[in-house]
Amino acid sequence: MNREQPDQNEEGIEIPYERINPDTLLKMIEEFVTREWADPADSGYTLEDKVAQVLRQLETHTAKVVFDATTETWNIVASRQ
Amino acid sequence: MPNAPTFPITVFYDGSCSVCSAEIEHYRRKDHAGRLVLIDISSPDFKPEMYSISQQTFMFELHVIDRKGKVYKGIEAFWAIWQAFPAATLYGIMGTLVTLPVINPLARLCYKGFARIRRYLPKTKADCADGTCRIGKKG
Repeated sequence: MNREQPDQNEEGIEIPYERINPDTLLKMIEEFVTREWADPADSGYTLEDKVAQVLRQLETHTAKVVFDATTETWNIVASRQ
Repeated sequence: MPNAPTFPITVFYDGSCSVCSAEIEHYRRKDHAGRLVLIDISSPDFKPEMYSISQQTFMFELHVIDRKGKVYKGIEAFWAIWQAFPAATLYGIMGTLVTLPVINPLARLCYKGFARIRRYLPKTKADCADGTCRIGKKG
């Protein structure tokens, strides 16, 4: 798996990204890439690059948004193919 | 879910209910933009007739009325409150979650269950010595 892809499979309620308010979705992706891709080796990518990459993965359904109701946390994870 | 509310919104909460008060206090602390107006419906000063809604109806479930007069009740009221925090991704996703098919009726059912048992939950005491239980009140 490409290391720029979300690399976890995680249980939770899948939230269709299309139903999320676009501003909220953008903030979520920004939070996600800031949290997950802080590795200096990724410095060749800008935040915008990373956001666009995750958005593309959501659009192609290779990644999905999940919500864990127990911990009240969300994540973006790889979709099982 | 209905259209997004117009802010500020007025939140009618039961200040005599400890769980309800704790939840609303949580939102009050986060409301730096002044989008929430909080009204304790257990206060003797509260006049439900001003809103053409009975005290019993107010007491049954959480009510929110937006600036244009649109009324949101129960889960929809929570959804309206969450819209007041556009920068909070958790509220954004919870707001989306409760609109999903299957989840929405379940959420409504759970809230109705809570609304029915709410009267048996512990009452607030420390902040209600004079009979009122307003959020943010100290001593």
